[in-house]
Amino acid sequence: MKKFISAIFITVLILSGCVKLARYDNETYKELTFTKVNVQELYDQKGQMDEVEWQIEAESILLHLKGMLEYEANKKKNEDTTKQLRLLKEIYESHIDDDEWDDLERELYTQTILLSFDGMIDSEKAKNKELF
Amino acid sequence: MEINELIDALYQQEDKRLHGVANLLAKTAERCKAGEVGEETLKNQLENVGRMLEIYQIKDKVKHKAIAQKVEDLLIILATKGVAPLVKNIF
Repeated sequence: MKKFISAIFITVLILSGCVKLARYDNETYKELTFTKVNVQELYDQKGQMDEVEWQIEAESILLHLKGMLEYEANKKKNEDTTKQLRLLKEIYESHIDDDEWDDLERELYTQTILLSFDGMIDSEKAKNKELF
Repeated sequence: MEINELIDALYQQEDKRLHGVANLLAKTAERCKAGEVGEETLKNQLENVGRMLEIYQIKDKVKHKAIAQKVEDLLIILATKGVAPLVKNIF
């Protein structure tokens, strides 16, 4: 009997270690939705406002994304969200590193980044079926 | 493997926003073929579409898997043979 109980205990321990998804985090959801709106606004403003000011704003959002990444990377069992955010940051960086956008690039960059944010937001929402 | 296959696959998705991405990628490929933009531009855009699809795949391992594979194949062709074979029949 003792062996049986030990076996169950060990199995539960192993299974709990295999769960990769973190719990729903309202801070993550809020940051993603707010940052998505800020990025959309920034992309709309490219070419409309002074380029130096635009770059300052773009760097400020990049810094914010880095902070979000640090926050996610430090949460337990949160590899998936961390990886998603790392990919999103790479996309964003490649966009803001491009100095001149024509209309086609603006449209493609906007679609790509918004879809990436939506993918992450959907992932976070899926962790809380009662709320969403 | 040509970029047309990726564009067609994106158009076949239920998510209409991916149709927009397909349309814009097609325009970029056309401009690349016409020499209006460089190979690097197409490469960057393909890489970013690949990253975006990966974000979705982390949540759902099956979703967009076939399209993500096409992006990967196209990037290999681009790196080894250049842009010409990718955009051969884009017009």
